[in-house]
Formats: sequence, C-alpha cells, structure tokens
Amino acid sequence: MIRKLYRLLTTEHLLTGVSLARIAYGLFLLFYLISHYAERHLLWGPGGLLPHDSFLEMAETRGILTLFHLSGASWFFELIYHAGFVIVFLYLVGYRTRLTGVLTFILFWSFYFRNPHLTNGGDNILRIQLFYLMFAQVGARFSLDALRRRNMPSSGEKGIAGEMSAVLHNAAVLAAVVQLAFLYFTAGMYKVMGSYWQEGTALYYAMRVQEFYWPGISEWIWKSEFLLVFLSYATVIFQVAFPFLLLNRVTKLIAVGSAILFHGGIALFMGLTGFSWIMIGSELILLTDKDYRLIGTAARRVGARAAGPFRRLGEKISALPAVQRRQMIVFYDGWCPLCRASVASSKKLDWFSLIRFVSFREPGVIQQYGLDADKAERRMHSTADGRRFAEGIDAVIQMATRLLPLWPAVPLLLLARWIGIGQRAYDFIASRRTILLTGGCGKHCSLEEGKKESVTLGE
Amino acid sequence: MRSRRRIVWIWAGGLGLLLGIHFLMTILYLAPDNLLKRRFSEPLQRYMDPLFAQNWQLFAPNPISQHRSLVIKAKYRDPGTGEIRETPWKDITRPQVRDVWENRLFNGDRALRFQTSAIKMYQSEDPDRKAQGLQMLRRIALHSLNDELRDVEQVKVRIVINRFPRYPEREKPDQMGTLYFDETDWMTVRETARGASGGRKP
Repeated sequence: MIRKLYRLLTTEHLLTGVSLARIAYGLFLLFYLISHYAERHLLWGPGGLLPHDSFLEMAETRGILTLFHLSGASWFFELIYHAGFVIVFLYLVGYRTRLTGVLTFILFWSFYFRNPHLTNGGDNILRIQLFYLMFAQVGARFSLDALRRRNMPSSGEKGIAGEMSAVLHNAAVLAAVVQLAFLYFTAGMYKVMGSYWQEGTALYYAMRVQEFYWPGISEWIWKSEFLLVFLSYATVIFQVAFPFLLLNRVTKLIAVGSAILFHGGIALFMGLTGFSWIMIGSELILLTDKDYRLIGTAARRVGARAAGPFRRLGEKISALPAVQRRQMIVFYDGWCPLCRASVASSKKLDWFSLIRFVSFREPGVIQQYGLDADKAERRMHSTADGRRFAEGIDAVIQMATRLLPLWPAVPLLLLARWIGIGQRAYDFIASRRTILLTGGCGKHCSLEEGKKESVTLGE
Repeated sequence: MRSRRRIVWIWAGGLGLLLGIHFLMTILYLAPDNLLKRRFSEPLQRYMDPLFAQNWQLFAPNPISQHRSLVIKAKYRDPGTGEIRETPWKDITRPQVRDVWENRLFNGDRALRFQTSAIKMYQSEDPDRKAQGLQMLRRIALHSLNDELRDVEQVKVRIVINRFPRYPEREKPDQMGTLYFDETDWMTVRETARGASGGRKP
C-alpha cells in the first residue's frame, strides 16, 4: 500500500496534458506579441496609456517587481518585446523548458503588470498557470527536449533527484488542476446569485454590450427564450459542477468536452478568442496519458471510416496539373531512426502525393541527383526542379508548404528562419541524430560493416 | 535506500502541506464576503496579492447591461491665429467598437478594455481610485488627439452610459436606451491630481 503510494507520487502524471498546454500557451503568447505589435507602445510603452512613472507608483503600492523596473528607456522596452518572441518561440517548441518556462513566466508577468488595466480573465489564469507550470515537466512530450532525450542513453533507474523532481512535477500539476477547478466553481457560484442568470436573460445582456456584440448574429440567440434560459442554466450548472465532474473518468471527459464547446461558443459569438483559447489550453492538462490514448484510438476509428471520400477528393486534387507542378523530392538519411520516423509521419500528411522520399544512403542516389555526399549527410536536402536544392530548415519549409496539415506551422518556421534560429535549431537536432544500421538498407550494409553499432554524428 | 525514501516522503509531505495551505487561502480569498474573510482580510491580501491575485466573477453576479463610451473635446491653440479654439465633441469609443465588430481576431479590444477600466475607476467611491481613473481618462483623450492636433492646451472627457433596452423591449434599437452622462472638468495636458468633478444627470 505504502509502496504503491510511493510509486504514485514518484511517477510523473499528466505529462501529455501539460505538454499540450505548453503548446497552447506558447501559441497564445506568440499571437499576443504579434497581434499587438503595432500598438505595443500605446499599450505597454514608457510613454503609452500608463506612463512609466505611473506604472512604478502602482507597482510599489502592490509590491510588484517586473522586468520593466530595470529601465524606462524605450530601447529597453523594444529589447524586452523582441526578446519575448525568441523566448516564447523556444518555450513553444520545447527547448530547455526548465529555463524557458521561467523566462516565459517572467515575461508575461511583466507585461501583465506593466498595464493591468488591459487584462482579462484569460490573462489572469495564464499568469497563474505559467507560475505553477514552471515546476512541472512541460517539455516531456512534443518538444525538442524530448527529441534530445530520446537520443541520450537512459540509466533506467531514477535517482533521488529524479524522484524529488517527479514529486515536484506532480504537485505543480495538481496545483494547476485545482486552480482551474476553483476558477469554474467561483465563476458559477457568483452567477447563482445573479438575478439575470436566474431569469435567463444574462446572455441577452452580455451579448448586447457593444464590445461583445456581433452585428446580425447575436440577435438570433436572444430571439429564442428557450435557448436563452437553457444556455444560462447550462452555464451555471456546468461551472458549479466542474470540480466534481473531475472525480470520475467518464464525467471528466464530459466536463472537458463541455468546456471546449462552451469556450468555443464564447470565442465565436462574443469575440473573446484569447480568453477561450487559454481556457481550452488549460483543459488539456486534465486528461491523463491514458485518456489521450483512448481518444486517439476512437479518433482513428472515426477517421478510418471518414477517410474514403477524402482520399478520393485528395486523388482528384493531386491529378490537377497545377498541383502536380508542385511535386518535389526529399533526400533523407535512411540510416537514422528519427529521420525514418519523420518520413513516415510526413507521408501520412502528404494528402496530394506531392513528395517523393529518397534515402541518399541508397546506392546511386548521390550520383544520380548530383548531390554533395557530405552536405547531404549534414542536412536534409530537397528539390522541386532537380537543379536547385534546398537544405536544412529551407527543405523543411519547402516540405511544409506541400503538406496541408502543416500550413499553420509555415509562418512560425519562416519566422524562425528569419530570426536566424531556424537553421541553427535544425543543425542542432540533425547533428545529434542517432545513426543506426538495421535491416532496411539493402546491399549497401555490407560495405559499411564498421559502422554497424550506434554512432552519433558530431560527437 | 531507506533514508532516501524518507527524504522523498518528507519532500512530498512538505509540498502537500504547502499546497493545502495555499489552496485554503485561495478558497477564502475567492469566497464571497464572510466572517472569516473579514477577520483575516489583511494577511490574506498580503499573501495572495500580487503573485496569486485573481478574480473569477466573470459576467457575475450579473453581466454588465449598458454600453460605456467616451466622448472628448479639446481646447487648442490655432497655429494660424494663435487663438484658443474648442473642438466639437468626438466619440472615441465607437471607432474601436466598430474595429472589434469587423475584425473578430486581430482587433483593438485591449485598448477598449483600458477605456472601460478607466470609467470603472473614475466612477469608484474610493478617492484614490477616482483620481487614478481621472488620469487614465486624460491620457486616453490625449492619445486619441495626438494624431490630429499639435497644440492641445486642455481636454475634457464625458462618460456616456447607455442603458440599452431591457429584455422585454429587446427589439428596440440602442438609441431607445437611457443615457447617463458624467463629465470631467477641463484638464491640462500635464499630469495633475485635481480636475475631477462632474455629477450624474439622467
């Protein structure tokens, strides 16, 4: 019993959930910095709506310290704002999240209190969750950290530091979950006291206020008395019940599903997109790794059934001459498990059969396409016309533009290349990849007997 | 091995205790006004603010049911004649609201939130908050004029509250709502603590 409890405490829980939350928060923060770029001086600048001296005065009465206490110069403000892009991007892709998690918290904390009159409930919960999650292992999955760890030999047994770190992670995740439950419960409890929520008119008033109004659409909601009363009561009951729904797996899935619908509705009809995004991101923490596996299996089953018509549509699109002109070849390293796995997942995303994957390790490939063997080994190459070759991050970008599901990532990749960290991050991963000769290399293996054991380039 | 387990147990127990105390404080902090909260209000505030400051009264107990807008006017020195002139009233909320309606993702809703926050502060009973709210209104006015007028001498802000039609009259347009005004005195361009007055008139 005690041993079981010990194991429960020293095993990290909800790793997938917090990693997904990290990605959701990272995307929000990137959006936050990008979407306010033009008005950044007005909102947070030293001469903006809250001048630097008024900010210092406010901060002193509340005992707040931020990065903006270091200097009120406008070059310093610019430095923080632009460094923010880099920090948030690294956090998003999961690079050294122990460090970038702390930096992201400090950054957002600083912007939050630099002008607290601009904030909403979404910013408030994000500020608190970023604090708790500093102590969690948010880089455990879907991250550069995880890729790096995969290539490192693991000792298997956790040391005392590992166990203490696991306990800390669990405490942090528990705090984030309890905080979320408190949010909903409080929001629901105060609504119970409201006469508008009781009589069912709350949504009419909330949706008619000019900043939450959607011309031509909102009216449709408040036309139906049934809908108004139903939505009012459903909101209150859902919010009050939220903490209790978390106690059982089935009701928890219902709670998370309802929350996603609820916040999706708020985003769409009331324009509170940032708030809703953060709330949905926070919901992701609540599902265990087993929940995600269950959802994955169910989704695959539904996907397989729905795939038929989509496949036919994909075939039709890929037969179009304009689409066929976009075909390309990618030269990857067939000896590297990570590369083979990436190729396998890319093939799944290649809905229009635009990319042909060729391992440059296959005999004759280097000569046939006129590749430079050393360069091809250092960086993935790609070509659309057989004459010009893109390499490294450029090849990744060229691929991503052809894989429809990856389109949302293209601006981020371009941004990363533009800042200059794209190629460096690529090289960092590529130079540390494991090269392993397994059965899949045909006749070529016999020539390279010496390399049969695992070797890591660049070390 | 045993001593190692003991350390981990102590660590886990300590963290558990910390979380327990923390969330007890959070419960009390979030609860409606009550006997315990009143008794511990000062240490509670000191513990929770600013690190864990939070407010989840989202659209509660009742949602706001009025439009809050700002109109401003300015006295400026005519660059030609050197005379002091007065501008007509200018609605500075409407264009931002329209922006929010038209661009549902990338819009100026944060600047709009600063306006409603300033109105709330200015209409507070607390004299300090009211004074801060007044300064916020003054800065909003100055920033909205910056692009058009160079030699602004004074500004004046009028808060317009439109209590739009109640639910039974929901078909009526906003113009049929009841208007309330609250107006500041003329405020100089430089920061001052005075200048607040204005009363409510239906």
